[in-house]
Amino acid sequence: MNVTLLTGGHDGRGAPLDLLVAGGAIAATGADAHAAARRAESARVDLTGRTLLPAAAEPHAHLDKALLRGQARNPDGTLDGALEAMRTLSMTTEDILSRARRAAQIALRRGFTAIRSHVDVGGRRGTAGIEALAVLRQELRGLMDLQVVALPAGPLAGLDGQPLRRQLRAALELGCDVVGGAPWRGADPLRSIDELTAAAADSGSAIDLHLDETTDASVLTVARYARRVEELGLGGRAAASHCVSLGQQDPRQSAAVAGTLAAAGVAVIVLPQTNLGLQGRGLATRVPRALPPVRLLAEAGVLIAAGGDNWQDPFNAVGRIDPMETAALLTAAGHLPPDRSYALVSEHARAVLGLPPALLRSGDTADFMAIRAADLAESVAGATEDRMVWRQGRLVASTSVHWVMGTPTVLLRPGLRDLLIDVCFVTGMMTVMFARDKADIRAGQRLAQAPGDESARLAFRRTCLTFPDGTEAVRDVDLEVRRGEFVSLIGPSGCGKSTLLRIASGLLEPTSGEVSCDRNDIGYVFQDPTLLPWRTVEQNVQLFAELHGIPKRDRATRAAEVLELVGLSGAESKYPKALSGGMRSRVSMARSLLLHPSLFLFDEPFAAIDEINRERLNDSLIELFGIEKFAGVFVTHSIAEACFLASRVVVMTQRPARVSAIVDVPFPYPRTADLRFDKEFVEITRHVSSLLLDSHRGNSREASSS
Amino acid sequence: MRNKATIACLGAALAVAAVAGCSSSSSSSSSSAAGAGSTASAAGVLSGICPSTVQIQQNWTPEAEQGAYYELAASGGTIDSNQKTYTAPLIDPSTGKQTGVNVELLAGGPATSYSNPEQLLYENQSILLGVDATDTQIESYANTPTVGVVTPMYLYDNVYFWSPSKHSLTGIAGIGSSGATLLSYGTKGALNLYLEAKGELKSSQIDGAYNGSPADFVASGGSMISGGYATYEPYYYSHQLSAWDKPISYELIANTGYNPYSNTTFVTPANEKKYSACLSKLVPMIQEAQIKYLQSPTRVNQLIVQLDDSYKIGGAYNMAIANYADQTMLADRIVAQPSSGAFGSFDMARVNTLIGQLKSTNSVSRLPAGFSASTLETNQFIDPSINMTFYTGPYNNTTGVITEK
Amino acid sequence: MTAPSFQGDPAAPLAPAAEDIGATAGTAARRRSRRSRTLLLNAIPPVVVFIVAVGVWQLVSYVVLDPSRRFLLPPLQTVLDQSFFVSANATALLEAFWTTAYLALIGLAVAMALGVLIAVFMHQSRFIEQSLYPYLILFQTVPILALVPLIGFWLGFSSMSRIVVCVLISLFPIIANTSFGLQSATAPQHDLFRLHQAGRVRMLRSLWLPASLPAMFAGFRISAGLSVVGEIVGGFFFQKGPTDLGILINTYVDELNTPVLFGSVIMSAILGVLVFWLFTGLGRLVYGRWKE
Repeated sequence: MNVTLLTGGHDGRGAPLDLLVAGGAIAATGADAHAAARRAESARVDLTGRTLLPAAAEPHAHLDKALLRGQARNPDGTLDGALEAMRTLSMTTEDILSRARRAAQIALRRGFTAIRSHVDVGGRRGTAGIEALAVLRQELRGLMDLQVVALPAGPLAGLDGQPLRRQLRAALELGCDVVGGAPWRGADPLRSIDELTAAAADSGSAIDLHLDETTDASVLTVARYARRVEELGLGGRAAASHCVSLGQQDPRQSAAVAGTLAAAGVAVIVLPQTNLGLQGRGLATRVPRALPPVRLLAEAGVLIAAGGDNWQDPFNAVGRIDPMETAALLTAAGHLPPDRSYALVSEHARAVLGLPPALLRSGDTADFMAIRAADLAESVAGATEDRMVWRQGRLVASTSVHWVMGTPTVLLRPGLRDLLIDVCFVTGMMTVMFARDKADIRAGQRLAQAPGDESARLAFRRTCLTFPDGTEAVRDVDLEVRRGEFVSLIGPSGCGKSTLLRIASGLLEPTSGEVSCDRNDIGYVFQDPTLLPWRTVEQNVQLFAELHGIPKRDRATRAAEVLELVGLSGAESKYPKALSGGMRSRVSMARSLLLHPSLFLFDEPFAAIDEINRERLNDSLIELFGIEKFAGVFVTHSIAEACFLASRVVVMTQRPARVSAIVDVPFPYPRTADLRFDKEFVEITRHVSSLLLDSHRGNSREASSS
Repeated sequence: MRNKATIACLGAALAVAAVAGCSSSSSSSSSSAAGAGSTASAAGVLSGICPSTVQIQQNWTPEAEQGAYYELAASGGTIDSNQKTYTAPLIDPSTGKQTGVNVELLAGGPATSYSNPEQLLYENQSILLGVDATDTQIESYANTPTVGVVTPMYLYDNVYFWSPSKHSLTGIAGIGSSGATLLSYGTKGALNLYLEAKGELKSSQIDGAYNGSPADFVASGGSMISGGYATYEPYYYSHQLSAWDKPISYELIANTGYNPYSNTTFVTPANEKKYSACLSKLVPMIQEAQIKYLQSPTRVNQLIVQLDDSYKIGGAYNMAIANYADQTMLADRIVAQPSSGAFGSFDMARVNTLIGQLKSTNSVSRLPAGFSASTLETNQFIDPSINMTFYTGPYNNTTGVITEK
Repeated sequence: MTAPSFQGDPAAPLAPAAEDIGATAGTAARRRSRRSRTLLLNAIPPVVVFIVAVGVWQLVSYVVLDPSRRFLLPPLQTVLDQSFFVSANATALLEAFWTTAYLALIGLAVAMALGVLIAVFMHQSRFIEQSLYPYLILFQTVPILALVPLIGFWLGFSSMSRIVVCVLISLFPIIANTSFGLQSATAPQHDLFRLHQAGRVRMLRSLWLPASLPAMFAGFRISAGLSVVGEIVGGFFFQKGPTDLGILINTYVDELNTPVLFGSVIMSAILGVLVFWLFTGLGRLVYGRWKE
């Protein structure tokens, strides 16, 4: 025996509901279900996200006419028009079977596990409909219960009605379960009702008549029907479909009829889909609502069910095969709450059909639906196709829905855009100002570092150098330079000034004597800027820092600083070939500056530069000197330059180089350009000049003058 | 950019070099023609005694002269157009059945930079058989000794040819007196020295820069005399070379007394012993194959032309040339039943004469003591019952001048 | 505390002086149009020579050579027609072109890597230089043709051997030029590095190799052309493997198919020119920005 545990679902109110289904019935619910499932090794079905509802039943359909659609057109949209359209239509058994089958399949998927279908007998179609539905009932064995109601196509009364009566009897023998008819339309409605009820009583079958399908309040054959049912004891198997005119009576009259219906045991079947459309036409305003008084009937104790009636045929071109549609209309037009509406299409409909209850209680037949919805209200409102349908414990239909949606485009509202721009701008400004402040602070820090360190950065003590080939370059040089001192070396060409610098830098070793300086802390600026042509200005400037292993980010920052110091901030990515001589010199200086050396050696760095630019460079060098406060040694041929830059001018002799004279230049730093024209300064330059002349002539004098 | 560029260059170069090194020198592109498939079936008369692939190294690209060897190969085998080899199951020509091993025919000549098959046999130990002329076999004996086991061709197929309109020679003997320039591969070839010694040729006539191309001959308007093969040049020049397209006259060099075997098929001395069981069965197959090929050459000629089209090296070759070559081989007695001995066997006296000719022209050195024809060739694997009898004519004037129009 | 301004005026902007930068935008535009005009003028002489050469070709072909010998120099239109408008020939030429290009470039790449490496080692170690140099000279002078049979025996007769021939031909110029370049760093540039105790590897990376780039690429350019030649020559001897221009040339010579033979020669020339341009362009890319 198949035992299945269905978990994860919830009931119409949203409370969890687990079921154990076995043998066509619900064996247990809730915790009992789980316990029983464990014992019985059951299959499991996950119903997460689904609402479990009792299966729906359709108490009133017309499967023989269903899905006719364009085949027969209702000329005016009224009941008469529909009947007229149907009267001349001929259909074969196969045709009826094909449409009925499709409609039944749709109904099954939508949750109907039972259908009572009225089928036309007589007229043009004879018993074709009955035969077709007989076949269909076989096809649906195990999937859906199908009750067939024989609906005679014309009046049964009198002589004219005799063939029809015969056909009706034949239909009943063919397996029709229920006697049907639409007596209220005929010439003698009451007599027809009598005959039909008698036929039902004779054959012992149930009876379900179309009654009072009109808003004309004067028509009220249902009262007679109730009396006949009671007299013949057909209560419990008698139903009255439509009963529209009952809703047009005055309330007391309706209540009275309701009472008789309840007493007789007649069920009323409400058919909102069709009647709301077929009746009440022709009036522009104050349109009567073509429904029986549902609440009134319920209060009277009448069993009320609701159905779909016509499914896309001349009577209702948009009839929807869905219990949720009927339930929604009952809620909207019948003013019933959703759970009552759904009861009418499920529990009550099953009762009208005489089927055992299927209310998801332990012991009930396992006919139910699991619809993807949060609760019953959403089930009715959403009416999603995503439903699983069980009949007697067997999953007979399952539909799933897959949806994909596009993503929305994002639009910044204009105001938001402007705000963002403002934010960016302000942030940028603040960053720039902050950075500049930092640079200033760092510059200030350098300033703070500067003097105080009075030790000599360079000292020559009796330094001599003789080249391997015998030429004596330097003889007995004594010289000291301190931080904050700027010393110029001036002398005849080839006397060995550059050699002295090379000794100082460590490129040459003296053959005797001492030279003391911190080799790691020297900046050396050559006459030729000697930029590496394959490096940009920025990369050239970083060269020494690279060689000393300073990390990249530091190097970059320092390079930027130092380029700013020499006034080349925009030229970082230029290659040396694009630079003028002056720019190259500045790069060379910047390169040496990067390491902030405390000893700076200059070997005629501005010799190849024109006068004006050289003066500019001198001014800048003075400023630099003011900032960095290094110990400077500057070799030059230019007396003016030597005096302007230096605090002391050292005049060298002819080769071999010796100190000939030292002249103090007692002007304070920073020095401005107009110092060049100062009288005292000019005097000093003249003095130096004469000393130099002596030097050229080979005279050597150690004199110190102020 | 500085270092980065260099490092990038170096890196790229090294990477490419690594790839080049990894990818093998021979990116082989094989194709299988529809047909028998390229692997031999499980067992046959040669399985177990011969190598599973019998490799035969030719001394030129596929041509009709190699028909005997291609006859052994089934059609539809694997063509390696990069390595210029053809592999197929080895078929016994007398029964038509597979022998259980494959045969792989390796093209020579331009495919191997004109290296000798004798040398290649030593360079690549998996090659069982090589094919070359006897004089080369003797000349290379000192470094790469080989033992001939069968010789499917009879008369030496080399010729000297000329334009009959430019020279009315009575034969090769008249070349010297004609004074014409002789195109030759090198100036000191044994043949030329031999002819010089006979007085039929003057060394000043020899132009040693011949590279096999018709260019010099045609450019000279036919005033040169050139060397070639009876099976190729006379027909090719007179019928297919649009730049010439005139008659060619030739005489077989064999008539001068210099008569090596053209297609001496040999093995290394070590393999002669190691594979003697194989050779006893394989050699008769080669004998049969040559006869069968000349009787019905169509299948093999189609295969040869297909291979030449695939390999795309060497001179032009097509069915017309192949057919002409077959006719010439028969008509000029280049393939013929020997006057004594079985078809394909060695005439030891003839080989000894050749050895003498090479020695007298100082074309060989360092031959071991006691070296003679029987050191060089062997008839031990020859099947004496195999004779070529099917061809009865027509024959060309094989002792004199033949003209192809 | 503001940064010093080299204009002498602290309030002046920090931009460098106008004369330091060089040409302004206006003169740059003028220079560009002038350059394109000179390009056009420079193109005229070679075009004239080309026309004259074609004229001489046709003259020789039709007038000097009688029809039976016209195959020695077929008319230009026959050459072009047969080579490039007969699809079988055109396909063969194109495929051979690519094969030659690809193999020559592999050989060149190997030669570049090997050559630069050897040059660097020789530059770094006097011992290596002295030991290797005489052999390099020797190796340069030994004709490739003598080595071909050996290469064939050791490496087979296929494309690997052809690549080896390319490498052998291309190697020396790369070594020579790279060595030259490595030594082109000036003494003051050396001083810069010595002053800061730069190590050997550092100097290689930052001084010698960058300084050597122009010369190195000159070597590459020479060797590129040689490599193409080497591949074609290799194809004469090593005919196994994919068909290259050498094999094609050989085949056409054997068949005396001179029109397509000339076509192959034209393709070889085109390849040589392309390779030359490639490396000129590459060189400009690598050092064009900074080389004076």
